[in-house]
Amino acid sequence: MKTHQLVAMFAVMALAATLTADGATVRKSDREGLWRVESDAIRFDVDAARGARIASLVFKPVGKESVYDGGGFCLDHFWEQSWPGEFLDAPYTVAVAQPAPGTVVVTATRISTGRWADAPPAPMSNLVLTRRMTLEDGKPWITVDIAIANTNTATKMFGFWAQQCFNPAAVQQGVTYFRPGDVGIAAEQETSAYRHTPGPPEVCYVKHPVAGWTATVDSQAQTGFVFLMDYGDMSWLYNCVGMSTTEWMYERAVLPPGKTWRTQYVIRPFAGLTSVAHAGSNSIVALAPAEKPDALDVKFSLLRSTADVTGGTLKVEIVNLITGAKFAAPDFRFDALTEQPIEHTVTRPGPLLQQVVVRAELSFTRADGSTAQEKFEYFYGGRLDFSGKNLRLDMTPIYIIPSPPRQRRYLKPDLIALVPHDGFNVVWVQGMFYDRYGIDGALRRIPGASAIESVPYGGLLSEGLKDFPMSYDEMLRQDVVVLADAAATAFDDATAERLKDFVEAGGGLLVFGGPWSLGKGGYRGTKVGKLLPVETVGAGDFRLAPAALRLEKRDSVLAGLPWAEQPRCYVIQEVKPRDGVEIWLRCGDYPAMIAGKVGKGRVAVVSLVPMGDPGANEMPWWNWPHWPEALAKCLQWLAGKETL
Amino acid sequence: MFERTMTMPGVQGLRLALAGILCAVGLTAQAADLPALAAGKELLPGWKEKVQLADDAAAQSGKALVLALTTETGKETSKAYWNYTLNGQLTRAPVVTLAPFHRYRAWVRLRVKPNVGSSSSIVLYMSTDGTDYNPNVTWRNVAHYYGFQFAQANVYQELSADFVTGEKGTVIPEVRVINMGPEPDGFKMGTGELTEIALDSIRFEDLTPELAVTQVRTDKGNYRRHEPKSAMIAVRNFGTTPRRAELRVTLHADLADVESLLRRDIELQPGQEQRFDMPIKTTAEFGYELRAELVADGKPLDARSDIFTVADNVYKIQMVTSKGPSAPSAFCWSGAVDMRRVPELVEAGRAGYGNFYEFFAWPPDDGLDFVPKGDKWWAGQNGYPGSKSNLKGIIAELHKHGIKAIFYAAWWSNGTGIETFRKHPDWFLYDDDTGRGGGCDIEAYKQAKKLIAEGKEGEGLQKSGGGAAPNWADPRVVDAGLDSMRESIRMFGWDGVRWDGEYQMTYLWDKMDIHGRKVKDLYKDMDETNTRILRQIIERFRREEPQFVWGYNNEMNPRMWGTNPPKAQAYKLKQGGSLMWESPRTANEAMNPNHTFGEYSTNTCEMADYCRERGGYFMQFPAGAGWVGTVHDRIYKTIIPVVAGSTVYGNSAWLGDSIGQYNKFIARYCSLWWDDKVRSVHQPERFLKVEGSGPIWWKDYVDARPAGWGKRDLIIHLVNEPVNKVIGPEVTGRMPAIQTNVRVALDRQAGGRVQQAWWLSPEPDAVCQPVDVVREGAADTVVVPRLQCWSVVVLRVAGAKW
Repeated sequence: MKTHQLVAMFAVMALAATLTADGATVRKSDREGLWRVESDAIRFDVDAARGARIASLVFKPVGKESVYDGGGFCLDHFWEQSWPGEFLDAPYTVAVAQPAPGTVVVTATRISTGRWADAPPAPMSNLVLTRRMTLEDGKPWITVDIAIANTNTATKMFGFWAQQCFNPAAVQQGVTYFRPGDVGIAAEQETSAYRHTPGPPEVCYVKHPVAGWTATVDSQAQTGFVFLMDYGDMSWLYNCVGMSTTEWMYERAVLPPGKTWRTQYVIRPFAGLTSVAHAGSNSIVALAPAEKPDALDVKFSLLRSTADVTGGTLKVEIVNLITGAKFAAPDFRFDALTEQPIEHTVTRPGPLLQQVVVRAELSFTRADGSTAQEKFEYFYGGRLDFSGKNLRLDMTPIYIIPSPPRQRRYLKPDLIALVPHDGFNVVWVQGMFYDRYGIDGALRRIPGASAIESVPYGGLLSEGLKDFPMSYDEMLRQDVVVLADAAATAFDDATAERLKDFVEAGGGLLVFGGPWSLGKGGYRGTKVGKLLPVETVGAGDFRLAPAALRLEKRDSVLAGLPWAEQPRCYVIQEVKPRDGVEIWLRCGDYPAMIAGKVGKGRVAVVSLVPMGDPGANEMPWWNWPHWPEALAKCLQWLAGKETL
Repeated sequence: MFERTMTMPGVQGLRLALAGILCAVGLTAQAADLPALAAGKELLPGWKEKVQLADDAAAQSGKALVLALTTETGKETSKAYWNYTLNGQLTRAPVVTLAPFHRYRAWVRLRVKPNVGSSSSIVLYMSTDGTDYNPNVTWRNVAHYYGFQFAQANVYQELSADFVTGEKGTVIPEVRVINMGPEPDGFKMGTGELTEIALDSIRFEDLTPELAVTQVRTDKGNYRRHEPKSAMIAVRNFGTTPRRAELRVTLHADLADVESLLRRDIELQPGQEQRFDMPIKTTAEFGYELRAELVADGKPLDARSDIFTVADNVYKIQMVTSKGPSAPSAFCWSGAVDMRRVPELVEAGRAGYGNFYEFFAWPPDDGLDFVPKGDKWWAGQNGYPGSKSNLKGIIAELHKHGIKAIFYAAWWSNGTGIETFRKHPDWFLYDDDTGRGGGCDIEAYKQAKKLIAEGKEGEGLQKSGGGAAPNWADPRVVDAGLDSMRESIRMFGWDGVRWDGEYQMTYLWDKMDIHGRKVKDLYKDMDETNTRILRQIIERFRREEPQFVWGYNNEMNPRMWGTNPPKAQAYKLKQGGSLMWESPRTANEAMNPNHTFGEYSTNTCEMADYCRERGGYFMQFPAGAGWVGTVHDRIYKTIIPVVAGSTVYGNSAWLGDSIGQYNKFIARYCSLWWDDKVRSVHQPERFLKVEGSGPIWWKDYVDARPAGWGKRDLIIHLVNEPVNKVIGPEVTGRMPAIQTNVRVALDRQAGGRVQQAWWLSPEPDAVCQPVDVVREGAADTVVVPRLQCWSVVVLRVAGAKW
């Protein structure tokens, strides 16, 4: 036992009650900064001196200490700092309150230094981190509210990361982590293979979560913890398998001065389940398929979560992922959810010959009369090829579980206006054929031009933009954003909102066609798509159009170039110009360059695709010597600097 | 025994002293001049301090080199597979000078505690030309005592290793121990006493007869049927007086087919060597033994043989032995190959009876570009380095030995496929939902372009991991792929292709074409479309590359298909294709349907029958965690596919050389398992009975073939039940108890009359010998003298009723 544990133990023995009431209590120990909070179901200690962590936690129905030596709940981090970061063992200011009988609130506060390892300190310094932990009688969970306030005059950036280090029943071996990923529940177990060594990344990370929960379960003891968090802000789920941690990271927050980033998570211990397939505010569900020679049984176990559910219905559909055959089970009606699981088994006739997905839809009636729904999907491959994994022969998933849309919150500055600056600033988002659009040549022709090169990160499957301006400060200093074959889905909501604000404030936006752009880029109906002067026509919008480019609008900035040389196009994306926009170029009958205005800004679409096999003596538009000049004129127009 | 060693005069006993402390018994004057063996000086990095020169009362000299397992030394091992076992080099001696070209047996005296009956693994290496350590070129692991079972704990026992010296006669002996643990099975760190291994002497016994066959060598290890074949035989007089004998050269095939190739009286002066070159005129397929014997006065003096295989389609007899060039990464990334190593590696592959080498993940694009433009490139899959000149050189070296060079291809397009996609967007398909096509890691793509522009990288942007989905339903696209393959065949001399899934639409059926039309709407019937694509491929190969062979990798699930398989599967099998089955790859995982040896066996038999009955070949991916596992698992993972009728796509049974000569046996007698005419006999227990002292698996392994004149051969594989129930790395290496006098009885009424019978076994060396047939009551019975893991009984039956 380490020194700090001994100190904690003796301190707790000498607890002196400072706040008492009916039900939940909080007591301060003789040791400065150590508080014990206790309800009818949970008892935990908060150690202010060690990151205000929950240094001890007992879920009374199980009666075991969950926190192992050196572990704890509610460990705060910024992921840019890597572990352990500045907060882990830093002292916090802790205040306790009892706002109502049976309710205790512990508030821990610390001002960040921003300093840790190689992480740049400025973006993360002088932030006020407040963590409020609430425990109530009759509610066997801890509600944790995080608030990070920027009281500075500059924009701040950080990625919050919550870490929980524990074993549900004080035993590491056999603990299983259940995480909802897009290829199914990622269940990883603590075994001797990873003992005391972190498992490999593919074991530890779930980089495409499809819901805001994660669960840590001791199947043998039939107990575990579910953590419910805000899916809208969450980025990755993580368990350091081998080291018994449960963690998750949030999207990086860009925090303008005077704004506060907030999130909430719930620590919900439970007993009676050996796995978790779904968790929401209304239910915690375990699901256990069992193969029989002539049938597939799927057993559901439903447990109360944090809402008072008085009854509901479970609908189940089992879909064969290879043949598409569907089996719909009769609805199952259940009464109030409690701490004791309600069990129900669905039987699908026929042996398991192909992989299936189990789709479950839960409808709830709550004590306050309101209704709610929760849905989830569960991939099951039994013992089919590749050990039942969600894999085809080519190692791609057989089935991707759809990710629900994320509801993000935007933290904007109060005033959004372009910032005067020297030069010509471009953000160049670079898709696969980024160097075929002549952008380099165009920038060389614009005095003072420079570009931030941003790439969609992660390749084929990931979505996101690396090096795209993260703050409004930086965004509003740009002249034009160029999307060279970038999908709209590369923009997370916050970035798309920032781009929209930039254009409406007077910035320019140029979007090129490409195999990941326009209709293929999923622009329709998105924030970015709504900025365009065109409507896209759907995913199948490539058109083989071997024709010469033709100047349509003779008084546009493109006039004066030798279009008679007939640079040729081979592939174009069909778009429908919106009312009131200008068509500057055509390829055959297809609009090829379309320009319009949004707010104070200007937007152009070049629907040309730099693909095709030019014949002898043909001049593809991307090799036409005057194309960079045309593009430079377009960029200058977009920036409102066409007279330069 | 194939290579019979005769008792010879003039055995030279030789003992080495270890650092003057391992004093040799009967030390010769020659040995006294030898430099002393050193404890540690030449050890592998990290092991120098771990081997101690210690007092040992049991040692002949009172001292021994001792390597003890502690938790520290144990941690040096790969924990993932071997839980804290002893793994290291016990000694490496300095150069010992022996007689050139002589046959020797090294005797190594070892003591091990507490591994009584354990399966400790001891490797004896000999650098037979005395050159410095280079594990892949100059060193030969002359003996693997995988699964060796010491008779008594802490008692010195001698292990032996046979080898032939080179031109200089210099040898560097080395002793290593691998994966030795304290538990009875020697594979797990437990509570038992920690392992210790001690060495007290090494001596060399000269086994060379005075008149010896020093070489029997066919020019290749594998041939096409009508390819010219030849052999070289060398004999030498090692004695001090002229010697005369008759040289008899014979060619052996199948069970008992023998053809005499040469009978000649020879006379050799002392030290004289005589060579004989001869053609071999045979066109029948499968395995052969070329055997040379020296006979004098009716008594055999010496004999030696070589094994080779014959088939026009290598998939029929393919063996990838995970040895030499067949080791997975040896040649695939040709840009990283040290060409100086190639001849020895290929030789090692041939020595392991390999006749097939697959170049995995090598082309600039797995689907559409098999023709690197410059000398250097990056493979489309994983960006492995390629070198045109190296690849040509490697394939030429493989061809010298008749080892077929097979290239890997796939149904996807990657690497340079990005450029093909850019040029021909109408050849490719787009995601049905998003409409997107192609894709890559842009940062990697940019970085690759930058390096190429700076002249620092080879051709291609493959490191970007990009790819696109070709529309194989468009005949232009298939032809583009085949055009590239054909040019590649011309460039490199490929013998065949093995697709990771062939050009097909199965995984592309949900996509759309460039016009936004859904594939499933355009082509309607996926199976018919896939069959049409296959027909286009095969007809073109047949027309343009008639000697070229093809194989596939498919998800196969006959239980799902029943009697109505997809047309494409049936077509490709009927056209003589080989189907690889990859599911057992993860058999070491509990959820894999082949996790237990029983399931693995049942499924393998089912798959093999499925392919054979439809005219194709079956090729099974090595089961369970690739090539790892205990020697027990390695052997059974080799035996079970073969007895089921599968060819061998990578095995490591050669590591079980101390137990049996599996690859040699499989190659030599492959007509019994890989002939098109061999078919499974179902429910053989109707007329057959097998009785041993322990459980024997055989009912799923009974085959039959026509034997002429109205007779049929019943081929009965007897597999001693595996000790391990499941396939996995952390299970025992203990071998099953040897069964003797196993009785195989055929009911005459129900099964027919046995006219001849043979017993074959790979253990301890490949053997095939006639056995007596005894009439016992209503049955014809034969007795198998010994069953370690695998024996085969062939009954030639008249009046067969099955």
